[in-house]
Amino acid sequence: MIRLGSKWLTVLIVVILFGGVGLSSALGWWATENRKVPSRYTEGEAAGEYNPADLRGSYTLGEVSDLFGVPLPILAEAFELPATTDAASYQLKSLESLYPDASVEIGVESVRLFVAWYKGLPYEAQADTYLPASAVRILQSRPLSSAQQEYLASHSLGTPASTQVAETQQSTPLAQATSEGTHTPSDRTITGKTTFQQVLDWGVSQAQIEQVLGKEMPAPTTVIKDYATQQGQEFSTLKTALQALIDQVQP
Amino acid sequence: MTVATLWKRFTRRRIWIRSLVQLFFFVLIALIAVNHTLAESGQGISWLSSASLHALCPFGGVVTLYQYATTGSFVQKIHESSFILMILGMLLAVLFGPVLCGWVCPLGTIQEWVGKVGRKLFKRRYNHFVPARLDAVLRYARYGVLAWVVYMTAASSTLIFAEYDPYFTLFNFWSSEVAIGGAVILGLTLLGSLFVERPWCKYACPYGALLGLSNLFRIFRIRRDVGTCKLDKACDIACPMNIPVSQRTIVRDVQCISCLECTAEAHCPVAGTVEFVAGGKKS
Repeated sequence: MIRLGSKWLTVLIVVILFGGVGLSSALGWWATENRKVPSRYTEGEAAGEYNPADLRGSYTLGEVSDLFGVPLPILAEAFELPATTDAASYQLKSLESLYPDASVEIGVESVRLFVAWYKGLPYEAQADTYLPASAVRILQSRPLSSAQQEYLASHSLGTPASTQVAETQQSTPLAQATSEGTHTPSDRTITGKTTFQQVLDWGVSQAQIEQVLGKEMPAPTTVIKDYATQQGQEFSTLKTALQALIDQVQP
Repeated sequence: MTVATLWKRFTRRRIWIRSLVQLFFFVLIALIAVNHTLAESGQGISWLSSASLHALCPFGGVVTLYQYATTGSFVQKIHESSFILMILGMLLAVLFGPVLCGWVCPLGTIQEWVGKVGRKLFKRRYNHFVPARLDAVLRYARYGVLAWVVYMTAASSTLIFAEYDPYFTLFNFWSSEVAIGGAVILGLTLLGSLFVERPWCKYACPYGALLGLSNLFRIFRIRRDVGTCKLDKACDIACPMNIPVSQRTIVRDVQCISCLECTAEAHCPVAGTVEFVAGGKKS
Protein backbone atom coordinates (compact mmCIF):
# COMPACT_ATOMS: atom_id res chain seq x y z
CA MET A 1 0.00 0.00 0.00
CA ILE A 2 1.33 3.43 -0.93
CA ARG A 3 0.41 6.40 1.24
CA LEU A 4 0.44 9.84 -0.28
CA GLY A 5 0.65 12.99 1.82
CA SER A 6 -0.30 16.49 0.83
CA LYS A 7 3.28 17.58 0.12
CA TRP A 8 3.95 14.78 -2.34
CA LEU A 9 0.54 15.27 -3.87
CA THR A 10 1.44 18.93 -4.41
CA VAL A 11 4.68 17.96 -6.09
CA LEU A 12 2.92 15.49 -8.36
CA ILE A 13 0.16 17.94 -9.33
CA VAL A 14 2.69 20.64 -10.19
CA VAL A 15 4.99 18.23 -12.04
CA ILE A 16 2.17 16.69 -14.07
CA LEU A 17 0.56 20.01 -14.98
CA PHE A 18 3.65 22.07 -15.72
CA GLY A 19 5.63 19.10 -16.99
CA GLY A 20 2.78 18.23 -19.33
CA VAL A 21 2.58 21.77 -20.63
CA GLY A 22 6.36 21.95 -20.99
CA LEU A 23 6.54 18.62 -22.78
CA SER A 24 3.73 19.50 -25.17
CA SER A 25 5.43 22.84 -25.87
CA ALA A 26 8.69 21.06 -26.63
CA LEU A 27 6.85 18.77 -29.01
CA GLY A 28 5.17 21.74 -30.68
CA TRP A 29 1.69 20.69 -29.61
CA TRP A 30 0.93 23.51 -27.17
CA ALA A 31 -0.92 26.37 -28.81
CA THR A 32 -3.09 28.97 -27.11
CA GLU A 33 -4.00 30.72 -30.33
CA ASN A 34 -5.32 29.66 -33.67
CA ARG A 35 -2.47 28.14 -35.66
CA LYS A 36 -3.95 29.57 -38.81
CA VAL A 37 -3.19 26.46 -40.81
CA PRO A 38 -6.24 25.24 -42.72
CA SER A 39 -6.85 21.58 -43.35
CA ARG A 40 -5.82 20.08 -46.68
CA TYR A 41 -7.73 18.28 -49.39
CA THR A 42 -7.45 14.56 -48.80
CA GLU A 43 -8.50 13.31 -52.23
CA GLY A 44 -8.78 14.31 -55.85
CA GLU A 45 -6.36 16.35 -57.94
CA ALA A 46 -5.96 18.94 -55.18
CA ALA A 47 -5.01 16.34 -52.54
CA GLY A 48 -2.43 17.81 -50.21
CA GLU A 49 -3.30 21.44 -50.98
CA TYR A 50 -4.80 23.75 -48.37
CA ASN A 51 -8.58 23.73 -48.48
CA PRO A 52 -10.16 27.23 -48.55
CA ALA A 53 -13.29 25.73 -46.98
CA ASP A 54 -11.41 25.69 -43.68
CA LEU A 55 -10.75 29.43 -43.67
CA ARG A 56 -12.09 31.06 -40.50
CA GLY A 57 -13.12 34.55 -39.58
CA SER A 58 -9.95 35.05 -37.54
CA TYR A 59 -7.69 34.73 -40.60
CA THR A 60 -6.37 37.96 -42.04
CA LEU A 61 -6.21 38.70 -45.74
CA GLY A 62 -2.42 38.71 -45.36
CA GLU A 63 -2.50 35.17 -44.01
CA VAL A 64 -4.85 34.07 -46.77
CA SER A 65 -2.46 35.56 -49.29
CA ASP A 66 0.52 33.73 -47.76
CA LEU A 67 -1.27 30.41 -47.46
CA PHE A 68 -2.92 30.30 -50.86
CA GLY A 69 -0.63 32.43 -52.95
CA VAL A 70 -3.29 34.94 -53.93
CA PRO A 71 -1.60 38.36 -54.17
CA LEU A 72 -2.70 40.67 -51.37
CA PRO A 73 -3.58 43.56 -53.73
CA ILE A 74 -5.87 41.19 -55.62
CA LEU A 75 -7.68 40.26 -52.41
CA ALA A 76 -7.97 43.90 -51.37
CA GLU A 77 -9.32 44.82 -54.78
CA ALA A 78 -11.70 41.89 -54.92
CA PHE A 79 -13.32 42.76 -51.62
CA GLU A 80 -13.08 46.50 -52.20
CA LEU A 81 -11.26 47.38 -49.03
CA PRO A 82 -11.06 51.12 -48.41
CA ALA A 83 -7.71 52.54 -49.44
CA THR A 84 -6.92 53.51 -45.85
CA THR A 85 -7.35 49.97 -44.56
CA ASP A 86 -4.36 47.75 -43.84
CA ALA A 87 -5.30 44.76 -45.97
CA ALA A 88 -2.64 42.47 -44.50
CA SER A 89 -4.11 42.62 -40.99
CA TYR A 90 -7.74 42.76 -42.07
CA GLN A 91 -9.65 39.82 -40.58
CA LEU A 92 -12.16 37.98 -42.72
CA LYS A 93 -14.85 38.29 -40.06
CA SER A 94 -14.66 42.08 -40.45
CA LEU A 95 -15.96 41.83 -43.99
CA GLU A 96 -19.46 41.37 -42.64
CA SER A 97 -19.31 44.80 -41.00
CA LEU A 98 -17.84 46.30 -44.19
CA TYR A 99 -21.13 45.59 -45.93
CA PRO A 100 -23.66 46.25 -43.17
CA ASP A 101 -26.49 47.27 -45.48
CA ALA A 102 -25.98 44.65 -48.16
CA SER A 103 -29.08 42.59 -48.83
CA VAL A 104 -26.90 39.51 -49.07
CA GLU A 105 -23.92 38.54 -47.02
CA ILE A 106 -20.35 39.20 -48.01
CA GLY A 107 -18.18 37.39 -45.50
CA VAL A 108 -15.93 34.46 -44.85
CA GLU A 109 -17.87 32.23 -47.23
CA SER A 110 -17.28 34.74 -50.04
CA VAL A 111 -13.53 34.66 -49.43
CA ARG A 112 -13.51 30.87 -49.42
CA LEU A 113 -15.25 30.84 -52.77
CA PHE A 114 -13.06 33.54 -54.27
CA VAL A 115 -9.80 31.94 -53.17
CA ALA A 116 -10.85 28.48 -54.33
CA TRP A 117 -11.90 29.57 -57.79
CA TYR A 118 -9.03 31.99 -58.18
CA LYS A 119 -6.63 29.12 -57.53
CA GLY A 120 -8.64 26.61 -59.52
CA LEU A 121 -9.33 24.49 -56.45
CA PRO A 122 -12.46 22.38 -56.11
CA TYR A 123 -15.15 24.14 -54.12
CA GLU A 124 -18.89 23.73 -54.09
CA ALA A 125 -20.45 27.18 -54.04
CA GLN A 126 -23.51 27.59 -51.86
CA ALA A 127 -26.58 29.09 -53.47
CA ASP A 128 -26.53 32.04 -51.08
CA THR A 129 -22.87 32.99 -51.39
CA TYR A 130 -22.30 36.29 -53.13
CA LEU A 131 -19.25 38.19 -54.24
CA PRO A 132 -18.55 41.88 -54.76
CA ALA A 133 -18.62 42.85 -58.42
CA SER A 134 -14.89 43.45 -58.47
CA ALA A 135 -14.24 39.94 -57.18
CA VAL A 136 -16.48 38.58 -59.91
CA ARG A 137 -14.63 40.63 -62.51
CA ILE A 138 -11.28 39.25 -61.32
CA LEU A 139 -12.55 35.69 -61.34
CA GLN A 140 -14.02 36.07 -64.81
CA SER A 141 -10.50 36.69 -66.07
CA ARG A 142 -9.46 33.28 -64.72
CA PRO A 143 -10.04 29.92 -66.37
CA LEU A 144 -13.47 28.91 -65.10
CA SER A 145 -16.00 26.33 -66.19
CA SER A 146 -19.21 27.48 -67.82
CA ALA A 147 -21.14 26.49 -64.70
CA GLN A 148 -18.87 28.68 -62.61
CA GLN A 149 -19.24 31.57 -65.06
CA GLU A 150 -22.99 31.17 -64.89
CA TYR A 151 -22.91 31.14 -61.11
CA LEU A 152 -20.87 34.30 -60.94
CA ALA A 153 -23.22 36.09 -63.29
CA SER A 154 -26.07 35.55 -60.88
CA HIS A 155 -24.18 36.02 -57.64
CA SER A 156 -22.60 39.42 -58.08
CA LEU A 157 -23.56 42.28 -55.86
CA GLY A 158 -23.58 44.61 -58.84
CA THR A 159 -21.71 47.74 -59.72
CA PRO A 160 -18.35 48.02 -58.02
CA ALA A 161 -18.37 50.72 -55.41
CA SER A 162 -14.65 51.04 -55.06
CA THR A 163 -14.55 54.21 -57.05
CA GLN A 164 -17.21 55.74 -54.82
CA VAL A 165 -15.27 54.63 -51.76
CA ALA A 166 -12.11 56.21 -53.02
CA GLU A 167 -13.95 59.45 -53.43
CA THR A 168 -15.93 59.45 -50.22
CA GLN A 169 -13.53 57.46 -48.00
CA GLN A 170 -16.48 55.62 -46.54
CA SER A 171 -15.89 52.34 -44.80
CA THR A 172 -18.99 50.69 -46.22
CA PRO A 173 -18.27 50.51 -49.91
CA LEU A 174 -21.20 48.42 -50.94
CA ALA A 175 -23.80 50.18 -48.90
CA GLN A 176 -24.86 52.23 -51.85
CA ALA A 177 -24.00 49.67 -54.48
CA THR A 178 -26.42 47.13 -53.06
CA SER A 179 -29.40 48.88 -54.50
CA GLU A 180 -27.79 48.63 -57.88
CA GLY A 181 -27.11 44.92 -57.48
CA THR A 182 -27.99 42.60 -60.28
CA HIS A 183 -29.48 39.95 -58.08
CA THR A 184 -32.15 39.78 -55.44
CA PRO A 185 -31.93 36.72 -53.24
CA SER A 186 -34.80 34.34 -53.61
CA ASP A 187 -37.44 33.95 -50.93
CA ARG A 188 -36.64 31.72 -47.97
CA THR A 189 -32.95 32.61 -48.12
CA ILE A 190 -31.33 34.26 -45.13
CA THR A 191 -29.59 37.48 -46.05
CA GLY A 192 -28.01 40.32 -44.15
CA LYS A 193 -31.43 41.85 -43.59
CA THR A 194 -33.42 38.79 -42.60
CA THR A 195 -35.14 38.96 -39.23
CA PHE A 196 -36.02 36.14 -36.88
CA GLN A 197 -39.68 36.83 -37.65
CA GLN A 198 -39.06 35.93 -41.29
CA VAL A 199 -37.47 32.65 -40.26
CA LEU A 200 -40.55 31.96 -38.13
CA ASP A 201 -42.78 32.84 -41.07
CA TRP A 202 -40.89 30.34 -43.21
CA GLY A 203 -42.02 27.56 -40.88
CA VAL A 204 -39.14 27.17 -38.45
CA SER A 205 -40.31 26.99 -34.86
CA GLN A 206 -39.00 29.22 -32.12
CA ALA A 207 -37.76 26.14 -30.27
CA GLN A 208 -35.67 25.14 -33.29
CA ILE A 209 -34.20 28.63 -33.54
CA GLU A 210 -33.40 28.66 -29.85
CA GLN A 211 -31.72 25.31 -30.18
CA VAL A 212 -29.39 26.78 -32.78
CA LEU A 213 -28.82 29.93 -30.74
CA GLY A 214 -28.32 27.98 -27.55
CA LYS A 215 -30.42 30.54 -25.75
CA GLU A 216 -33.68 32.42 -25.84
CA MET A 217 -34.55 33.96 -29.16
CA PRO A 218 -34.40 37.76 -29.11
CA ALA A 219 -37.33 39.92 -30.25
CA PRO A 220 -38.63 38.50 -33.56
CA THR A 221 -37.97 41.80 -35.29
CA THR A 222 -34.25 41.53 -34.58
CA VAL A 223 -32.11 41.28 -37.71
CA ILE A 224 -30.16 38.02 -37.53
CA LYS A 225 -26.97 39.60 -38.75
CA ASP A 226 -27.18 42.31 -36.08
CA TYR A 227 -27.78 39.65 -33.47
CA ALA A 228 -24.70 37.69 -34.61
CA THR A 229 -22.58 40.84 -34.46
CA GLN A 230 -23.82 41.66 -30.96
CA GLN A 231 -23.11 38.14 -29.76
CA GLY A 232 -19.65 38.05 -31.31
CA GLN A 233 -20.62 35.13 -33.53
CA GLU A 234 -19.89 34.67 -37.20
CA PHE A 235 -23.03 35.50 -39.14
CA SER A 236 -22.14 32.91 -41.75
CA THR A 237 -22.10 30.11 -39.14
CA LEU A 238 -25.44 31.15 -37.69
CA LYS A 239 -26.92 31.64 -41.13
CA THR A 240 -25.86 28.18 -42.30
CA ALA A 241 -27.45 26.52 -39.28
CA LEU A 242 -30.73 28.44 -39.62
CA GLN A 243 -30.82 28.05 -43.40
CA ALA A 244 -30.56 24.28 -42.95
CA LEU A 245 -33.69 24.39 -40.81
CA ILE A 246 -35.51 26.50 -43.39
CA ASP A 247 -34.53 24.13 -46.16
CA GLN A 248 -36.01 21.24 -44.21
CA VAL A 249 -39.42 22.91 -44.14
CA GLN A 250 -41.64 22.49 -47.16
CA PRO A 251 -42.80 25.90 -48.41
CA MET B 1 2.09 37.68 17.46
CA THR B 2 5.25 36.11 16.10
CA VAL B 3 5.69 34.68 12.64
CA ALA B 4 6.07 31.24 14.20
CA THR B 5 2.73 31.59 15.97
CA LEU B 6 1.03 32.74 12.81
CA TRP B 7 2.51 29.84 10.87
CA LYS B 8 1.41 27.38 13.54
CA ARG B 9 -2.11 28.75 13.43
CA PHE B 10 -2.13 28.61 9.63
CA THR B 11 -0.88 25.05 9.44
CA ARG B 12 -2.89 23.63 12.34
CA ARG B 13 -5.39 20.94 11.46
CA ARG B 14 -5.62 21.67 7.79
CA ILE B 15 -3.89 20.88 4.54
CA TRP B 16 -2.06 24.22 4.52
CA ILE B 17 -0.10 23.45 1.40
CA ARG B 18 -3.37 23.10 -0.51
CA SER B 19 -4.21 26.68 0.39
CA LEU B 20 -0.87 27.80 -1.01
CA VAL B 21 -1.38 25.81 -4.22
CA GLN B 22 -4.88 27.27 -4.60
CA LEU B 23 -3.57 30.80 -4.07
CA PHE B 24 -0.78 30.22 -6.57
CA PHE B 25 -3.13 29.07 -9.33
CA PHE B 26 -5.65 31.81 -8.57
CA VAL B 27 -2.99 34.50 -8.87
CA LEU B 28 -1.46 32.85 -11.94
CA ILE B 29 -4.77 32.70 -13.83
CA ALA B 30 -5.69 36.24 -12.74
CA LEU B 31 -2.36 37.60 -13.99
CA ILE B 32 -2.68 35.79 -17.31
CA ALA B 33 -6.24 37.08 -17.75
CA VAL B 34 -5.12 40.66 -17.07
CA ASN B 35 -2.15 40.21 -19.36
CA HIS B 36 -4.47 38.97 -22.10
CA THR B 37 -6.37 42.25 -21.93
CA LEU B 38 -3.15 44.27 -21.84
CA ALA B 39 -1.71 42.35 -24.79
CA GLU B 40 -4.73 43.25 -26.92
CA SER B 41 -3.74 46.90 -26.59
CA GLY B 42 -0.05 46.13 -27.11
CA GLN B 43 0.87 46.61 -23.44
CA GLY B 44 1.23 42.98 -22.39
CA ILE B 45 3.98 41.67 -20.15
CA SER B 46 6.30 39.73 -22.45
CA TRP B 47 7.45 37.05 -19.99
CA LEU B 48 3.93 36.14 -18.92
CA SER B 49 1.46 34.16 -21.00
CA SER B 50 -1.27 36.27 -22.55
CA ALA B 51 -3.44 33.31 -23.48
CA SER B 52 -7.18 33.72 -23.37
CA LEU B 53 -9.05 32.07 -20.54
CA HIS B 54 -10.71 29.74 -23.04
CA ALA B 55 -7.29 28.51 -24.11
CA LEU B 56 -6.44 27.61 -20.51
CA CYS B 57 -9.70 25.90 -19.65
CA PRO B 58 -9.53 22.10 -19.70
CA PHE B 59 -13.31 21.93 -20.00
CA GLY B 60 -12.95 23.58 -23.40
CA GLY B 61 -11.22 20.40 -24.51
CA VAL B 62 -14.18 18.34 -23.33
CA VAL B 63 -16.84 20.36 -25.13
CA THR B 64 -14.90 20.37 -28.38
CA LEU B 65 -14.41 16.59 -28.40
CA TYR B 66 -17.40 15.92 -30.64
CA GLN B 67 -16.41 18.49 -33.24
CA TYR B 68 -12.81 17.32 -33.16
CA ALA B 69 -13.88 13.72 -33.70
CA THR B 70 -16.23 14.57 -36.57
CA THR B 71 -14.40 17.37 -38.39
CA GLY B 72 -10.87 17.43 -36.99
CA SER B 73 -11.26 21.06 -35.92
CA PHE B 74 -11.90 22.79 -32.62
CA VAL B 75 -14.89 24.84 -31.57
CA GLN B 76 -14.22 28.55 -31.98
CA LYS B 77 -11.94 30.02 -29.28
CA ILE B 78 -10.73 26.57 -28.24
CA HIS B 79 -7.19 25.58 -29.07
CA GLU B 80 -4.74 22.72 -28.64
CA SER B 81 -3.86 23.96 -25.15
CA SER B 82 -7.40 23.25 -23.89
CA PHE B 83 -7.12 19.75 -25.29
CA ILE B 84 -3.78 19.13 -23.60
CA LEU B 85 -5.03 20.49 -20.28
CA MET B 86 -8.06 18.24 -20.58
CA ILE B 87 -5.78 15.22 -20.98
CA LEU B 88 -3.60 16.30 -18.05
CA GLY B 89 -6.71 16.85 -15.94
CA MET B 90 -7.94 13.38 -16.81
CA LEU B 91 -4.55 11.87 -15.97
CA LEU B 92 -4.56 13.61 -12.58
CA ALA B 93 -8.14 12.44 -12.02
CA VAL B 94 -7.34 8.82 -12.81
CA LEU B 95 -4.41 8.93 -10.41
CA PHE B 96 -5.75 11.09 -7.57
CA GLY B 97 -9.40 11.92 -8.24
CA PRO B 98 -10.64 15.45 -9.02
CA VAL B 99 -7.60 17.27 -7.61
CA LEU B 100 -8.11 19.94 -10.27
CA CYS B 101 -11.29 20.86 -8.39
CA GLY B 102 -9.87 20.70 -4.90
CA TRP B 103 -6.39 22.07 -5.49
CA VAL B 104 -6.28 24.07 -8.71
CA CYS B 105 -9.61 25.52 -9.85
CA PRO B 106 -9.71 29.24 -9.00
CA LEU B 107 -13.51 29.25 -8.93
CA GLY B 108 -13.43 26.57 -6.25
CA THR B 109 -10.82 28.60 -4.40
CA ILE B 110 -12.84 31.81 -4.32
CA GLN B 111 -15.88 29.87 -3.14
CA GLU B 112 -13.80 28.53 -0.26
CA TRP B 113 -12.59 32.05 0.57
CA VAL B 114 -16.13 33.39 0.70
CA GLY B 115 -17.11 30.28 2.62
CA LYS B 116 -14.70 31.24 5.40
CA VAL B 117 -16.86 34.32 5.99
CA GLY B 118 -19.98 32.14 6.00
CA ARG B 119 -18.38 29.79 8.48
CA LYS B 120 -17.61 32.70 10.81
CA LEU B 121 -21.17 33.98 10.47
CA PHE B 122 -23.07 30.74 10.86
CA LYS B 123 -20.61 28.55 12.77
CA ARG B 124 -21.79 24.91 12.74
CA ARG B 125 -24.90 25.67 10.74
CA TYR B 126 -22.67 26.61 7.83
CA ASN B 127 -22.83 24.13 4.97
CA HIS B 128 -25.94 22.50 6.44
CA PHE B 129 -28.69 24.81 5.25
CA VAL B 130 -29.93 22.70 2.36
CA PRO B 131 -32.31 19.91 3.49
CA ALA B 132 -30.68 16.52 2.95
CA ARG B 133 -33.35 15.23 0.53
CA LEU B 134 -33.26 18.33 -1.64
CA ASP B 135 -29.47 18.32 -1.53
CA ALA B 136 -29.35 14.71 -2.69
CA VAL B 137 -31.52 15.53 -5.72
CA LEU B 138 -29.71 18.77 -6.56
CA ARG B 139 -26.38 16.94 -6.69
CA TYR B 140 -27.48 15.33 -9.94
CA ALA B 141 -28.14 18.70 -11.56
CA ARG B 142 -24.56 19.12 -12.68
CA TYR B 143 -24.88 16.05 -14.90
CA GLY B 144 -27.81 17.73 -16.59
CA VAL B 145 -25.64 20.82 -17.08
CA LEU B 146 -22.84 18.67 -18.48
CA ALA B 147 -25.15 16.94 -20.96
CA TRP B 148 -26.70 20.25 -22.03
CA VAL B 149 -23.36 21.98 -22.55
CA VAL B 150 -21.83 19.12 -24.53
CA TYR B 151 -24.94 18.72 -26.71
CA MET B 152 -25.42 22.43 -27.37
CA THR B 153 -21.76 22.95 -28.20
CA ALA B 154 -21.85 20.05 -30.63
CA ALA B 155 -25.09 21.29 -32.21
CA SER B 156 -24.09 24.92 -32.58
CA SER B 157 -20.29 24.67 -32.96
CA THR B 158 -20.00 27.65 -30.65
CA LEU B 159 -18.83 27.95 -27.09
CA ILE B 160 -22.34 28.21 -25.66
CA PHE B 161 -21.22 27.81 -22.05
CA ALA B 162 -19.09 30.97 -22.14
CA GLU B 163 -22.32 32.95 -21.84
CA TYR B 164 -23.06 31.40 -18.46
CA ASP B 165 -19.63 30.43 -17.18
CA PRO B 166 -18.91 32.01 -13.78
CA TYR B 167 -15.23 31.08 -14.08
CA PHE B 168 -14.90 33.03 -17.32
CA THR B 169 -16.78 35.94 -15.77
CA LEU B 170 -14.60 35.94 -12.67
CA PHE B 171 -11.49 36.68 -14.70
CA ASN B 172 -13.07 38.82 -17.39
CA PHE B 173 -15.48 41.02 -15.45
CA TRP B 174 -13.68 44.07 -16.79
CA SER B 175 -14.10 43.10 -20.43
CA SER B 176 -17.00 43.48 -22.83
CA GLU B 177 -16.94 39.73 -23.44
CA VAL B 178 -18.76 39.03 -20.18
CA ALA B 179 -22.41 38.12 -20.59
CA ILE B 180 -25.11 39.03 -18.12
CA GLY B 181 -25.90 35.36 -17.59
CA GLY B 182 -22.36 34.65 -16.45
CA ALA B 183 -22.33 37.66 -14.13
CA VAL B 184 -25.62 36.64 -12.52
CA ILE B 185 -24.45 33.06 -12.01
CA LEU B 186 -21.13 34.21 -10.53
CA GLY B 187 -23.00 36.55 -8.17
CA LEU B 188 -25.34 33.78 -7.07
CA THR B 189 -22.41 31.40 -6.62
CA LEU B 190 -20.51 33.79 -4.40
CA LEU B 191 -23.64 34.67 -2.43
CA GLY B 192 -24.46 30.99 -2.08
CA SER B 193 -20.94 30.34 -0.82
CA LEU B 194 -21.85 32.25 2.33
CA PHE B 195 -24.27 29.46 3.20
CA VAL B 196 -23.05 26.37 1.36
CA GLU B 197 -19.47 25.28 0.77
CA ARG B 198 -18.67 25.26 -2.97
CA PRO B 199 -22.29 25.51 -4.23
CA TRP B 200 -21.24 25.74 -7.88
CA CYS B 201 -19.10 22.63 -7.56
CA LYS B 202 -21.83 20.65 -5.80
CA TYR B 203 -24.81 21.52 -7.93
CA ALA B 204 -23.82 22.96 -11.28
CA CYS B 205 -20.23 22.52 -12.42
CA PRO B 206 -20.21 20.37 -15.57
CA TYR B 207 -16.47 19.79 -15.49
CA GLY B 208 -16.63 18.78 -11.83
CA ALA B 209 -19.38 16.35 -12.77
CA LEU B 210 -17.12 14.71 -15.31
CA LEU B 211 -14.01 14.65 -13.12
CA GLY B 212 -16.07 13.38 -10.21
CA LEU B 213 -16.65 10.12 -12.04
CA SER B 214 -12.97 9.36 -11.56
CA ASN B 215 -13.72 8.73 -7.88
CA LEU B 216 -15.21 5.43 -8.96
CA PHE B 217 -11.91 4.09 -10.28
CA ARG B 218 -9.03 6.39 -9.27
CA ILE B 219 -5.77 4.81 -8.17
CA PHE B 220 -5.19 6.81 -4.96
CA ARG B 221 -8.26 6.75 -2.78
CA ILE B 222 -9.44 8.02 0.58
CA ARG B 223 -9.51 4.95 2.80
CA ARG B 224 -10.84 4.71 6.34
CA ASP B 225 -9.48 2.03 8.68
CA VAL B 226 -12.56 0.70 10.43
CA GLY B 227 -10.42 -0.95 13.10
CA THR B 228 -8.90 2.25 14.43
CA CYS B 229 -11.71 4.69 13.64
CA LYS B 230 -13.26 6.29 16.76
CA LEU B 231 -16.37 7.29 14.80
CA ASP B 232 -16.08 10.83 16.10
CA LYS B 233 -17.20 12.10 12.69
CA ALA B 234 -14.40 14.64 12.51
CA CYS B 235 -13.97 13.62 8.88
CA ASP B 236 -17.65 14.22 8.12
CA ILE B 237 -17.53 17.68 9.61
CA ALA B 238 -14.35 18.57 7.74
CA CYS B 239 -15.57 17.46 4.32
CA PRO B 240 -16.52 20.50 2.26
CA MET B 241 -18.68 18.31 0.02
CA ASN B 242 -20.67 16.84 2.94
CA ILE B 243 -19.57 13.28 2.25
CA PRO B 244 -20.19 10.98 5.26
CA VAL B 245 -16.64 9.65 5.28
CA SER B 246 -17.22 7.93 8.65
CA GLN B 247 -19.70 5.63 6.92
CA ARG B 248 -17.30 4.61 4.16
CA THR B 249 -14.36 2.28 4.02
CA ILE B 250 -13.29 3.59 0.63
CA VAL B 251 -14.62 7.00 -0.47
CA ARG B 252 -16.05 6.52 -3.94
CA ASP B 253 -18.55 9.37 -3.86
CA VAL B 254 -18.48 11.29 -7.14
CA GLN B 255 -18.51 14.54 -5.16
CA CYS B 256 -15.12 13.99 -3.49
CA ILE B 257 -12.57 16.61 -4.56
CA SER B 258 -9.50 14.97 -2.98
CA CYS B 259 -8.83 17.93 -0.69
CA LEU B 260 -7.51 15.54 2.01
CA GLU B 261 -9.19 17.57 4.76
CA CYS B 262 -10.73 14.38 6.15
CA THR B 263 -7.42 12.57 6.47
CA ALA B 264 -5.29 12.14 9.57
CA GLU B 265 -3.00 14.76 8.11
CA ALA B 266 -5.74 17.30 8.83
CA HIS B 267 -8.92 16.62 10.81
CA CYS B 268 -8.97 12.90 11.61
CA PRO B 269 -7.49 12.67 15.13
CA VAL B 270 -6.22 9.08 14.87
CA ALA B 271 -3.03 8.58 12.90
CA GLY B 272 -3.32 6.17 10.01
CA THR B 273 -7.13 5.97 10.15
CA VAL B 274 -8.24 8.07 7.20
CA GLU B 275 -5.52 8.12 4.57
CA PHE B 276 -4.92 8.81 0.89
CA VAL B 277 -3.57 5.52 -0.38
CA ALA B 278 -3.09 3.29 -3.38
CA GLY B 279 -3.08 -0.48 -3.24
CA GLY B 280 -5.14 -2.98 -1.36
CA LYS B 281 -3.91 -3.97 2.06
CA LYS B 282 -2.52 -1.90 4.86
CA SER B 283 1.21 -2.46 5.33
